[in-house]
Amino acid sequence: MTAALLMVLVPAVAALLGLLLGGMSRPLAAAIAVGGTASALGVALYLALLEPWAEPLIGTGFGEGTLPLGATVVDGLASTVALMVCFVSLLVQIYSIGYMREEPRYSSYAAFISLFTAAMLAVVVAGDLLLLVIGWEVMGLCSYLLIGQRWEQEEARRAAVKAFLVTKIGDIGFIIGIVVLIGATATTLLPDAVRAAADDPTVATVASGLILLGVLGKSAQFPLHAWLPDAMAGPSPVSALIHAATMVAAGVYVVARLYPMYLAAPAILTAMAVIACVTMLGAAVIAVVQDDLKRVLAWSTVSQLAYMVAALALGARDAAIFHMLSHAFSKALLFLAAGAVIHAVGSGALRELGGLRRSMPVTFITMTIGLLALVGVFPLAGFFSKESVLVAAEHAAHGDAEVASWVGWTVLVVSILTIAVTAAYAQRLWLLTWSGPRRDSSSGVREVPAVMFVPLVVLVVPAVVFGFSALERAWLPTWIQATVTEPLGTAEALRPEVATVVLSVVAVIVGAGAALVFRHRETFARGRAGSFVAAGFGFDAVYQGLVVRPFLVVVGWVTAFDRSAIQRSVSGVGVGTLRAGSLLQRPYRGDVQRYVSSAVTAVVVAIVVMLVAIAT
Amino acid sequence: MTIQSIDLLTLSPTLVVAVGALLALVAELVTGRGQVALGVGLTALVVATPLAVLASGEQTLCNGADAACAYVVSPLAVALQLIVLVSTAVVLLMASGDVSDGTIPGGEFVFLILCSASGAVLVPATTDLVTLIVALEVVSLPTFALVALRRGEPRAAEAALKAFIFSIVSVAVSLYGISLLYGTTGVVSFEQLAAAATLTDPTPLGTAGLVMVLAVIGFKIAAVPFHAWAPDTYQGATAPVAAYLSVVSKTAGFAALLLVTWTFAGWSEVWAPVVGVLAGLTMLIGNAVALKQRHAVRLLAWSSIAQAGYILVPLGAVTSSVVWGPEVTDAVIGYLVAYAAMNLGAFAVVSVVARRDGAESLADYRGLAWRSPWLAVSLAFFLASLAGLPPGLIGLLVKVRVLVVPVDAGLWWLAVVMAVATVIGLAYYLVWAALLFARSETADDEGLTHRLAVRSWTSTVAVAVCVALTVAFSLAPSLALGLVDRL
Amino acid sequence: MTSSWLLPALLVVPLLGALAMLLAGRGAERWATWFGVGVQSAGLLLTLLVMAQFSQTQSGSMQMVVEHSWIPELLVDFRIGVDGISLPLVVLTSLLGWCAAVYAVRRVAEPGRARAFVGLLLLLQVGMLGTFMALDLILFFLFFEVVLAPMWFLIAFWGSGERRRSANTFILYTVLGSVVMLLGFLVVIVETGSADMVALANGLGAQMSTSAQLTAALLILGGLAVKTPMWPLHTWLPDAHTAAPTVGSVLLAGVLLKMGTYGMVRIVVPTLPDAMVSIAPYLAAFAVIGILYGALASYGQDDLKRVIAFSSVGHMGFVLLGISTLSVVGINAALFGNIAHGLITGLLFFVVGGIKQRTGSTAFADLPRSLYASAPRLGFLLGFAAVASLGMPGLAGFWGEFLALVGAYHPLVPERLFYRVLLVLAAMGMVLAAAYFLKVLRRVGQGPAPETLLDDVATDEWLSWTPLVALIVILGVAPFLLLQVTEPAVRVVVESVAGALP
Repeated sequence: MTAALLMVLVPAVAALLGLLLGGMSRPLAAAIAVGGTASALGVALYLALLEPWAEPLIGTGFGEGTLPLGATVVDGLASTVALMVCFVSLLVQIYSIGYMREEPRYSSYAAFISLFTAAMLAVVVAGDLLLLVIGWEVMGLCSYLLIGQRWEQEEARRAAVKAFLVTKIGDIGFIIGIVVLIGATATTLLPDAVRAAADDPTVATVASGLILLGVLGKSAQFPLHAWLPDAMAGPSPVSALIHAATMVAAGVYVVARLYPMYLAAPAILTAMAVIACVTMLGAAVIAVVQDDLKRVLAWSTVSQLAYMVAALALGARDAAIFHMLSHAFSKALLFLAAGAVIHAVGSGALRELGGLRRSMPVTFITMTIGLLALVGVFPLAGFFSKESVLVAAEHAAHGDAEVASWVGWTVLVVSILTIAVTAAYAQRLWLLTWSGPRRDSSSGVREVPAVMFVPLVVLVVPAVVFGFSALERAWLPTWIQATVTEPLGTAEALRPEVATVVLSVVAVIVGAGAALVFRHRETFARGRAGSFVAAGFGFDAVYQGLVVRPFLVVVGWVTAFDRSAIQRSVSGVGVGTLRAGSLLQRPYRGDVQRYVSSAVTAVVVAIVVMLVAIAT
Repeated sequence: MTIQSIDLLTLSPTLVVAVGALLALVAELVTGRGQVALGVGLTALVVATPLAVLASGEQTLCNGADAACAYVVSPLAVALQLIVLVSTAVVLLMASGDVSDGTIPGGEFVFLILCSASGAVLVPATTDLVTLIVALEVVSLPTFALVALRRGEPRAAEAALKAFIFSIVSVAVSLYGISLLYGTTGVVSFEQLAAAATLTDPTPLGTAGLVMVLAVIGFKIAAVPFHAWAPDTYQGATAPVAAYLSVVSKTAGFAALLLVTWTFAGWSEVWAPVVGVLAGLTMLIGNAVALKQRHAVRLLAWSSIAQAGYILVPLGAVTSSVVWGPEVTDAVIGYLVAYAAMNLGAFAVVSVVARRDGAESLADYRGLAWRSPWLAVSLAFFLASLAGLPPGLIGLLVKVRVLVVPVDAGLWWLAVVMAVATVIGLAYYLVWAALLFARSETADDEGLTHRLAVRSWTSTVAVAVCVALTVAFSLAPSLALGLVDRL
Repeated sequence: MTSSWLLPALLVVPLLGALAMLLAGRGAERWATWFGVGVQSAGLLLTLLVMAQFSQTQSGSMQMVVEHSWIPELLVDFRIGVDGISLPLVVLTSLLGWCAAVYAVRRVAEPGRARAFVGLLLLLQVGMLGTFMALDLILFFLFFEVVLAPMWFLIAFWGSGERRRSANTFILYTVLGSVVMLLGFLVVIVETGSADMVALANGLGAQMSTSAQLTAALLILGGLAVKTPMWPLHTWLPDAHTAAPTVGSVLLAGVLLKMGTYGMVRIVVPTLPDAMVSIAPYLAAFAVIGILYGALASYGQDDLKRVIAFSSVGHMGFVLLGISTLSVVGINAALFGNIAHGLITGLLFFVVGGIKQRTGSTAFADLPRSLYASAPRLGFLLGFAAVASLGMPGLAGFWGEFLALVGAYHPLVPERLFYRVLLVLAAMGMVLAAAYFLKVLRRVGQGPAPETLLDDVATDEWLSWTPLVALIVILGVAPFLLLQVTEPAVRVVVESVAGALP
């Protein structure tokens, strides 16, 4: 049993205990959940102290000789991400104690969050492809369970199923990709498989392309992004978890984990870049016209994840991970803050918010910082991490990457545009929530209890200072650049460059300024075009038409076919036999002459037939 | 032609049964009690059974000149005789109820049954066509009287008449066939005919004769298309007589068939296809029509037609690759043994239930399990055996044994027909079995008004004997499948 | 140490139990179900002893073999034994039998009559265990048939709805299948002069001519495919499941279906390798059609039991796909899938039976929408079983399907590309499975709280279901526990096929 496996198992066991015992009392359930996650954080810290970036910690699995399972790898990358996951999860668990105070099913809720954490940690430390698959899929299950936490509401039921199925569609590719990887490399050990696949361009292209489908699903990239905005039907802390620490991060992380294989497949990298560009700008534009606090943030996540995917496509894994970590802090902060607003006001609809600045000062300040970090304002973490992506794009545009330079240029331009749009929707969100007149529903609103705002305050710290960790080579870059699959190179610091800084600052000013200028327009009255954009460019309708409806039609065919053709042919045989029985029975009515004459005829026929047979 | 020696011991099974018949008649005249006649008859059968075993391998009534004997007891013949003797004994047990309440007169009944049985014992030991036909008629003639013997049943006479007409016609056809065979070969003894058949290819006249000889056998075993009398006759007769017809009379028919096919083994290309087609038709038609039956005895009649089809299969599968021999005969004998036990068992239960509850139609069997659990379980067991469904293992195993032959011969159509027929057959046995355990809709025994007061423990013994035999065969199938080797 | 009495005892104990139930008087009604638990517990103990005696290192060869000449006329010997392929199924059967007995203590379906019910269950147990232990073709066939009558009774008398018709369809259809299988066996016996499954698997069968092998294999596979059930021979299954009482459904899905796929691995693959190599791609195609068809049809059903029945068609499709690869991974996958499906579908039918007992129906139209609220623990178990069934990694259901895909990537037969296309289609089946199970949960579980609550899971239900839940999790996180047992035996089987390849 390795420490890494322990880190996975502790929250998993906490989940099990929570399900078994949690029903007894709410404090017990909370203690199990928080204790489990805190212990996992402890193990993660312990692992970090072992300096895995210097020497990766390899744990062998069980079941040698047949299907070894449970092999782990903790290198710098895994260790760092594990720390972030445990940290955010712990804050979410603590926050949930307050947020879910009225929840009748708190114990199962907390248990599922623990399981979610365990599954993400399994993905993070997976040293074999099977453990990776387990973590990956269990996360999908947990997202289903938690998004559907309030299954009494039709919206939650629908969103939960949608989240599970859309990601599962991507997972067809993921599973087949893993099968190909195992089949082609004849090993289930992740480092060995990745190294072997990286040496074979065909396998690398096929496997990374297939696995990318799963990544698109989990990380909500076009065209498998549609589940994430709906997923906000789940409680806010769940959104914080999904949008920051788990689920969406898993997709990006897996590409980083298998990175040598992706680098051996430039076609796939190009595809990733294109997808990222579409997703980045499209989602940001959609976010501008949303009417719901959490929906804005959800589309924002889709857009921000595209930055990470773009960085991965450009060969800048470190930038991607850097942005993933910094985004995790700011987005967790934003969702928890949004949850606080919803908790206090009772609604997340933007038209019912406004002027909350005085009544919820802590939430106001922390959310403002979160938004600034999201937009990427100096010196917050988002600024540095986004800059690292822009720098990577610039380098790629100059031909310093596996992909063609036009890809670099495209990413660079789209990224800058997206920064402007990001600033616009962040500004709009801030204005509609905190400034302006108070609405009816927000009278009598009070700040949330300490158990909820303390996690906000805690999250502010990394959201503010995390950016500096990448400036020095010895810190973050050394950690995340150390992976077991590659020779440890010399880490480079992720520093901004002048050109990109100027461009992004201009973009932020333009975007925020536009939002300020247009704030007096009635924000919610939209034409048909606006509604179309707000509905995700009508993508759900396309999805309905291309996937759901054909599926239901085929189901109808198959069901009808089974009922009629096959079933009837079987019962038809039975009925036919019975009918034959009736027909055959008909001659036997006691008419003895006929009996005898038929028997004699039969003898004659038999004789004739046999005579003919003998003659020939 | 002088007969040099008469070995009474070798002939004793036939003689004992024949003498028993007379004694039974006398016993009833003297005592006036039918049960005594039954006792005498049973005693005769019980005595005859070990004698039959002792006589194995003997021969008598030999002609000194060429050492041809008229009565030869091969192990095969002994096996057939054993089936006849034991089955007849069980029939007598079954009939005691009918005798004691006067449905049938005891003395005449036992006399006729034993007369017929003595013929059936004789059949497998005959050595020429003429004696064979005569012996077969000894089996048949008393049965017409037996059918008609049932008192207070208007259909009985008609039933007897139908069987009689059929019999007459089939015997006529067969005799004509024999004359054709004699005309072409000049001999009637099996050995000489066999020698002739191995030497020459089938002639047109011989072919016609052979096919015609099969007619009387077809009547005896009630194979399609000579079967039409069976359902009406069985239904008109009492259950024990129907049981006798369906088992002992059939066994005699199969004994004759074995003899004839052995004799003409060299002409198997003539008779095997005929028997094969007969088997296929008999299985399919028997089972298909049985599906629609709602009268217990009538259903068993159709069932026994179908079962005869299965027994024909090995002979129908005789080809160039599978020759007439133990592979074929063991299958036939094995099936006959098992069939005797399970079919008699089914009739025994029907007989008891008919007398006790007045049950005739299948509907009357609804919920029998809650009135007479043991009878119901026994009947279900026999039905399962007939269907070839565990726990009736022997029924299944003899079907397997029979099926081996066409598979070995590569005669796929026959194997498939048998497979399909088995499945169809399962259906009606199931319907009946389901009724036994169904809950009666109203209070118990609805519609069964004329309960008869007379109960007969001997009928129950008959059921028990059949259960014991069927279970024994199921546990040690070699008893049935390897019977000939043990004799 | 000799342990030759163990396997016969495993058969004799339930057989005697069944006989005792037959002979017991009316008074036995009161204690019959407890008697059933006692007998099945004894059986389970014996099975544990067998497991203890079993040498895992030699799981590739038959162990604890007991041999007696029985019917020389038919070349039939009474020969039983276990190896790595059969042992897991023997254990599964004993376990599910025990669970069914415990469940039946307080829950004999209408119309009661515990004696007969228990007796039939015990007889069923004899047939199921015997099938997995038999080492003689005819003996295998006999045990294969032994299960029919008890199952027919269970459906026809303790079932619901169109029970008589469903029971008859079940038995006639499967008898037709087994007769066809018997014809195939007879071909093998006639051609080789032996019914000894071990000898046949060790090369005797491979000596048959290719055409004879093909005939025999088609017949045997055809028969076994009915039982499995392979598309399009599945039509008896949904009706039988819908009508059957709870324990009947559990054993039908949990054990009876496995007899088909077990027969393929045990008999067809090693005995008729040449034929199997040429049939395998067709089998694979049918398997994948079954996967997709089962999933799509499941989605279209409006009755819980029918949904699960069609899902079985899909899951058994994965098992068939695994077999059709003829590879070590694939056949291991098939054996794993067998066990996993037995546990999971067994649990599903238990839970659905529980729902039926409480609400009186399994049709969506009659069911309240809010199981999660009205009986949270029952709802949780339904959710758990559904999630396990849709192939969640970390639970037992996943590995059989995943490994079948891995096997399909590297089939032993030459048609690689074809198998890879099938691989993709089969993987899509996994998503479809998710679709219909989520639909079920949404339809049955997730709704506003009702006014009246249902009784939640009772103690006896927990007792009978917990072993299944535990094993689903254990095999999910430690699949190697089972694979270590099957793997050596599978290698032996695959070696015999590998020799048949050009």
